[in-house]
Amino acid sequence: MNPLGDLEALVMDVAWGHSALTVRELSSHLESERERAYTTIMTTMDRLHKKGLLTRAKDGNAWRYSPAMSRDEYEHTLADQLAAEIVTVHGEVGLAAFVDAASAEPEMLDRLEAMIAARRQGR
Amino acid sequence: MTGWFAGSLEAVAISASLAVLTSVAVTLIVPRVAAVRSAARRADAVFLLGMLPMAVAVMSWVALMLPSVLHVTGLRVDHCDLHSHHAHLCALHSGGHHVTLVVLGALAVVVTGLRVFRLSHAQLKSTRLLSQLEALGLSDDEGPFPVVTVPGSPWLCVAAGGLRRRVVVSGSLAHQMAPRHVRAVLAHEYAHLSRNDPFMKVLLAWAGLFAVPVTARVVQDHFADAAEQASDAEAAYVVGALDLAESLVSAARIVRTGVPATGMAFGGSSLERRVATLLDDVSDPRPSRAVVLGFGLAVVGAVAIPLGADTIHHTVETLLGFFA
Repeated sequence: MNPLGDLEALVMDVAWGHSALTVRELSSHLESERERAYTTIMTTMDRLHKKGLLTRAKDGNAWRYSPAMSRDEYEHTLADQLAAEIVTVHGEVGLAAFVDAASAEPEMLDRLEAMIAARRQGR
Repeated sequence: MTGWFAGSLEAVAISASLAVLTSVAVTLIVPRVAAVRSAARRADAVFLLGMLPMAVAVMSWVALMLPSVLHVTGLRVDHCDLHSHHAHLCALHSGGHHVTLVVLGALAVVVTGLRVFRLSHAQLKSTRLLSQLEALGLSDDEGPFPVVTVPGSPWLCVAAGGLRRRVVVSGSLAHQMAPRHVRAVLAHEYAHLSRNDPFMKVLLAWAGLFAVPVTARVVQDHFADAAEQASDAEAAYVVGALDLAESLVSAARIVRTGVPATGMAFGGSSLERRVATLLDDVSDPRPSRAVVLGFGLAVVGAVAIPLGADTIHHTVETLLGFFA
C-alpha cells in the first residue's frame, strides 16, 4: 500500500465522509474545476479500486463506490507498512531506537523486572 | 589532462591504501575503548576513531596533489627536476605514472562510487518513508524537541534528524505505557537529540565509506551501544534510573508482541546490559563533545596539511621508490 497522491487523498476524504457514491456524486463534492473533471475522477476512483481502497457495486449503468476500510484502518495499515520498511532499510540512517526488542525473551524480561522490583524495595 | 587524471588516480590509490591501514588499526582499537567508564566519553572516542580513515584518506590525497596544484596556480614552482633520485608522484608530467597505482586508484573510485550510491539510496529512502509516516501523525512542539505521534502498531520510538531533530513514536506504544515510563522514554530520546546522535550516525555512515566495511560496522555498533548508554545516563539523571529501567523493560515487552520479522534492534544495545548498568548506578551523564572536537581537529588538519604537504608528498615518494 502506497501513500495517497493529492487527488487520491481528496477523493478518499469525500468517500470516507459519505455513503456509497457514484463518480458524478463524488465530483460534486470537490471544489476546483480540475478536481471535478469527470474522467479524471473516474480514473482516480478506478485506480483506488484496483489498490483495494474502494469497493464498488453496479447501480444501473454506473458504479457506486464505497471505502474498503475506515480512515483509521487505512492509516494504521499504512503506518505499519512504513514502519516495517523503515526498520528494514535502517542500515546507516540516522535513527536511534529506544529499545532492542529483537533479543528480548520473556524470561529475560521477567528476570529484569524482578531485579528492578528488588532494587525498589531496597534489597 | 591525462596527466591530471592518472596523477589523481595514483593519489587516490595511495590515500585508499593509507585509509585501509588506518581502518585496520581502528578495528583493533575500538573494542578497547569499551574499558572507558563514561559512556559519553566512549561514544566520543568511537566517533572520532570512526572519522579517522576518512580524515587520513582526504588529507593524504590533498597532500599528494598539492604540489601540482600549487604549480598550476602559479603559487610555487614544481619540484619535478629534483626527482631523478627516486619515484615521482606528479599530475603535471604524464611520463612516469605507475600503472598499478592508476588501476588501483580507478578500482577504489568505482568501489567507493558504488558504496556512495547504495548509502545515498538507503538514506533517501528512509527519509522519504519517515516523512510519509510523520504525515500520518500529529506533532507536539511543547517539549525541548517536537514529538511526532504516529498511528500503527507499537513498533517505533526513535530519535531522528540532524537539522530537524524530533522524536517519532507510535501512539499505541505510548498509550500502553504508564505516564512515568513515557516520560522516561522521552527523556532518553531527548538525550539522543541533544547529544546529536542521529547526526553523528549519519556522519559515521559517510565516513565509513572510506573504511573497509568491517571497520564501518564495528564502529557503528560500538557507537550505537555507547550512545544508548550515554542517553540512558542523561535520562536517568532526569527521571531516575529505576523508572528508566522499568520503561526499557515495559517498552521491550510491548514492542516484541508485534515487531516486524526484521526486528527492532537498530541502534539499540543489549537490553540486559543497559538495565544492569542503570541498576548499578554507574551512570555518568556528560554532554557529547565529539562534533565540536571533530570539527576542531578537521580545522587543525586543514591548516596543518598544507604546511606538511611537502613532507608527506616526499615521504610517500620515497616509500614508493622502495616498493617499486
